[in-house]
Amino acid sequence: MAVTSFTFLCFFPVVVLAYYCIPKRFRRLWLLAVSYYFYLSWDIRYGFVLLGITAVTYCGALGIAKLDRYPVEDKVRIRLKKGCLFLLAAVVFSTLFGCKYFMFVIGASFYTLQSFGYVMDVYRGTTKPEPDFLRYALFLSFFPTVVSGPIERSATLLRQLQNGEQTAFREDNIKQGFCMMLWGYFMKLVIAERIAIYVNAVYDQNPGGVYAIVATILYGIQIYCDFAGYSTIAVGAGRMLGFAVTENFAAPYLAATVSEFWRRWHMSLTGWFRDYLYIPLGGNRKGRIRKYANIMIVFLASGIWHGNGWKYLIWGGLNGFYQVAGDALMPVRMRISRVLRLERAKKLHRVLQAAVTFVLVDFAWIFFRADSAGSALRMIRSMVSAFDLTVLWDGSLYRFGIGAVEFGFLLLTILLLAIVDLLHYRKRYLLHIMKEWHWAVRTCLCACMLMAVVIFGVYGENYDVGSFIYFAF
Amino acid sequence: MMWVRSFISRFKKLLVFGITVIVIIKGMNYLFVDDTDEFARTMMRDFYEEEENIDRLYLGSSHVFCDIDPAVLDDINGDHNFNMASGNQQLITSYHLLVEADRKHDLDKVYLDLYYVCTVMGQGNLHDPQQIPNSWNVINQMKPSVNKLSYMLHLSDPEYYYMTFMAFKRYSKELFHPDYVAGVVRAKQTDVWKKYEYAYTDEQGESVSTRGTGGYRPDYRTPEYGDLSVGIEERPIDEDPIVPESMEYLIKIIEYCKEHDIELTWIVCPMSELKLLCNGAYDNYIDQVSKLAAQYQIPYYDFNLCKREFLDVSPDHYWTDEGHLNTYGAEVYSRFLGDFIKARESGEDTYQDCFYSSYEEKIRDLREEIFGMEILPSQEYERCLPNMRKEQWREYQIYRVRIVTNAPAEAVDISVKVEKDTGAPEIKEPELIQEGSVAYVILSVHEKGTLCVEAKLKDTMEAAKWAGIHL
Repeated sequence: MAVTSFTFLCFFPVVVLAYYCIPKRFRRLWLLAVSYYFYLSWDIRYGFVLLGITAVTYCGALGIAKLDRYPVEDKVRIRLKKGCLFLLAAVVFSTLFGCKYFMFVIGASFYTLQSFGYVMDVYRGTTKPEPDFLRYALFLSFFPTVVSGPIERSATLLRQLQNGEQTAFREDNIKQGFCMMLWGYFMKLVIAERIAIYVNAVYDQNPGGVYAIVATILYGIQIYCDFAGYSTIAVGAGRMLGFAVTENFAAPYLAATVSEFWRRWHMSLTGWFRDYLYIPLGGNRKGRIRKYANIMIVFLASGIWHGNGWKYLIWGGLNGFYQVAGDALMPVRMRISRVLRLERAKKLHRVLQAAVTFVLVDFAWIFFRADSAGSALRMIRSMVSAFDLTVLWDGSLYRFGIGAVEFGFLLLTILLLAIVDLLHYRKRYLLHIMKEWHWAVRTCLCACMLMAVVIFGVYGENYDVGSFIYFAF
Repeated sequence: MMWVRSFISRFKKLLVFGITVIVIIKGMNYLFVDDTDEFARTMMRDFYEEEENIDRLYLGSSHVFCDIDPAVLDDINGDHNFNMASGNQQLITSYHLLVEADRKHDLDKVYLDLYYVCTVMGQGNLHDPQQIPNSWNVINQMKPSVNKLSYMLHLSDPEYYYMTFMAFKRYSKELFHPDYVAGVVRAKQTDVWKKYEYAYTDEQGESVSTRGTGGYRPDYRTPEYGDLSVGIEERPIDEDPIVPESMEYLIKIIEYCKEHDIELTWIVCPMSELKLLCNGAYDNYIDQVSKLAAQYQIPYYDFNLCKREFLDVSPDHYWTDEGHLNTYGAEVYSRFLGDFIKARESGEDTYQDCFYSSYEEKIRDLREEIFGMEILPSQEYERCLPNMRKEQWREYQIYRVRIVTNAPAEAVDISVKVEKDTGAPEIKEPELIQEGSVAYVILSVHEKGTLCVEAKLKDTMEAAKWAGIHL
C-alpha cells in the first residue's frame, strides 16, 4: 500500500479517526496493528523479516544492557558487550544484505539501520533498553516511516512513544499534518511525476546534447521531490497522529558546499552514517588523511546501501570525492574568491556556490539514474557530442512527453518549490508564516492546494502513480 | 458556551474549505467537460422538466433514442411515452435511470432494449475507463440523490472514483491545451448550449441532428459514402453474451419492476443485416436472451427477426449508418412498434406470425442480395505481396473488403476505383485480389482520395451496391 495509493487515501483517515476515538491506553496497540497491516499489505512474507529483526534487536539490546550489571571485570564486560554487538551487527547486516540483493524486501534497508542504531545507542549507554516489546515493535514498524524512512532514532520516536504525550488530540497537529501531507503529495504527484515523463523518455531514447542536460537537471529535482515528497507525507502523517517524525530534508539544493548538501539531504541516513560509522572510524579526530579516508568509506558505504551496481559505488565515490577535494582545495578556493573579490558581492558569491554545488551533485545523479555505469558514461559523452543549443527554442525540447505549456507550468511549480525551500533555508517555515494569516485565507489556500494536487497531479488513467524512487532501496 | 463558539469556528472553516473545493470543481468542469455534443444532456433536461406523468419508459442505447419517436407512440397508444435512452447505455445505467424515472413518475410500462454490445461489454468493461464515458455523461446530468450516489459508487472500480466524482479529471489529457479549453468555452457560450438545445453538426458544419421531443433524437443523415459500409469492427457474440455484471443489473431491473408493479418488456431495435452478419452468431444471443425471458417470464421481442412484410426498414435511405435508423426509418419503426404493442395489449393476433424463429432462418428466407460491405485496413502483406521484400511493404496499404451477402460467394462481382480529390475527377483502378466474397485492395501509401468499392451479384438485375472510404 503506497502512500499515494487509493487504498492509503481511504486507510489513513480511518486510522486517524479510530486513533483518536479509542481509549488512550489502546492507541499504541492500534498503531502497531495498523502499521503491521500497512506493511504486510505489500507482501505478507515481509512481516517475518520485520518481526525477526524486531525480536533479535529487542533481545540483543536487553542482553547488552544486562551485561552492564553482570558481576565480571570491566575488561571482560566490554569484550562481552562488543561480542554481542558484533553478533547483532552480523545478524542485522546479513539480513539487510539478503533482503537487498537476494529477495527484495521493501523497507528493510530503513528499519534494519534503525534497529541497529537503537542497539548502538543502548551499547553506548545513551539510551536505556526498551522493556516493552510492543512499544519497540511499533518504533520499528511505525507505518509512516517503515517503508522509506526517515530512519528514526531512539532519542526521537522511541522516546515519544515512551512519553505517551502524543496520544492527546490537538487540532493544530491535524491541521499542520494535513498541510504537510498536501505539500508532500504536491511535490510527488505534481512535480516529480511530471518530470519523470520527460526524464524517462530521454533516458530511454538518449538523444544526448541539451536534451540530456535538461533531463539531468530535471532528474536532480525529480529525485528531490520524490523522496522529500515521501518524507514530508511521512512527517505530516506522523504529525496528524501526534508524533514529531524526523525531518529528512532541509532545502538541500541551496547548500553552499557538497558537505552542507549532505547535511541537508536525507538527513536521517547521513546522520546515521555519521554517528554509527564515521565517528566510530575516528571521524576527523585522527588527522587529515584518516578524515578523508573516513569520508570516502562513509560515501562508498552509502553507495553500497543504495544498490549493488557499480553505478551506485561510483555515485557514492563521487560524492565522497567532492568533499575530500573541497576540503583539500579550501585554500585555493579562498584565494580565488579573494582574487575575484567575491567577498564584496556576498549574495552573488552565495548563488555561485549553490550553483556549483548543484552542478556537482547533479552530475553524480547521472550515475544514480542510469541503468548502469556504462550507460551513464554514454549519456555524459552524448551531452557533449550532440550539443546543440537551438533545441531550446526550436520546439524540439517538447517532444519527450511534455508540451510547451506543460513545460512552462512545470517551471512555475519548480519556482514555487524554490521559494518554499528558500524560506525553509532561512528558517522561515511556511506553516508558521501561514499562522499569521486570516483563517479564511489559510483555509482557502489549503483547499486550493488540495485541488492543485487533484487537478495537476500525474496519476495515470486508472490512478496508477509511479512508485517512489526510494522504495527500490 | 466555549464549545459552541469552538464548534461554530470549526464549522465556518469547514464551510469555507468545502465551498472553495466546490467552486474549483465547478469551474474546472465548465472549462474542461465537453458535453456540447452530448445528447444525454438534452434528454435528462427534458426528463427533469417533464410535467406530465410518464406512463411508458424506453431504456437502451443510441439505437433507442434514434429509432423510437415517443410522439408517434403517444398518438398510437394514447399514453405519455418517454425515451430515456443514452449512448451505449449499459444495464447499470438503465437500472439507475429506471429508479430515477420511477421516483418522479408513476410508471406503468418499461421497454428495455437489450442491445448485445451493451450486454456483452456490460460492467465488465468498467475496469477500462475507455468504456465508462457514456455512463459518466448521464451521471453529469443527474440531479443529486441517493440513487445518483449509488450509481456513482457502483459504476466503476474504486480507482476511477476520482474521475466519477470530478468530471474534469476525465479530460486530463487536455489540461495543457488552451485551444481545447477555448473551444469548449466558446461552445458553452452559445444559446444552443445554454438553452439545452441540441444541434449536432457534421464535419462540414451542416446540422444533421436536432433536439426531438420526449428524449427522441431525430437524425437526418443518410449513409455518406454509398451504401451501409465501412469499417465495422467485428464483435463476435460469444456463448456468454450477457456478462455477470450486466446480468446482475438485468435481474435488478426485473426485481425492481416486479416490486413496483411496472410491466417490463424486452425489445431489440432493428439493426442492419450488415451489422448483425458482421458480428457473428447472432442466434446465440437470441437463444440466451430467450431462455432468460422464459425463465423470468418477460415478454421479449427482437425486431431484427421481424419479417419484411410486417416491418421493412431494409432500404439504405432509412439508415444513418449500419446501426441507427434516421428520422425516416424511425418514423416507420416507431409506428410499427406502437401498432405491435397495441395489438399485443388488446390481444389481437395481427402480428402473430411476424417473427422468424431464428436469424439464420430470416437470412435464408430473404432473396439473394448484398447487404453491404465491410472495408478495413489489413496487414496481410504476405498474402497480397508474396514476391515483395518486407522492407518494401511499408510503401503499400492494403484494405480487406468483405461483401456481406446471403448469396453464394462465387456469385459476387467486385470492382474498385480511387477517385482523386483533385478538382478534375481523376480515376484510378488499384490492384485487386478477389477470393469469393472477400477482396484485397492494394494501394500505394501515397494514394489519396476516396476508395470506392462496387459489388454486384452476377446474373441479376439487382443494382450494384457501392461504398467508399477516405484514404
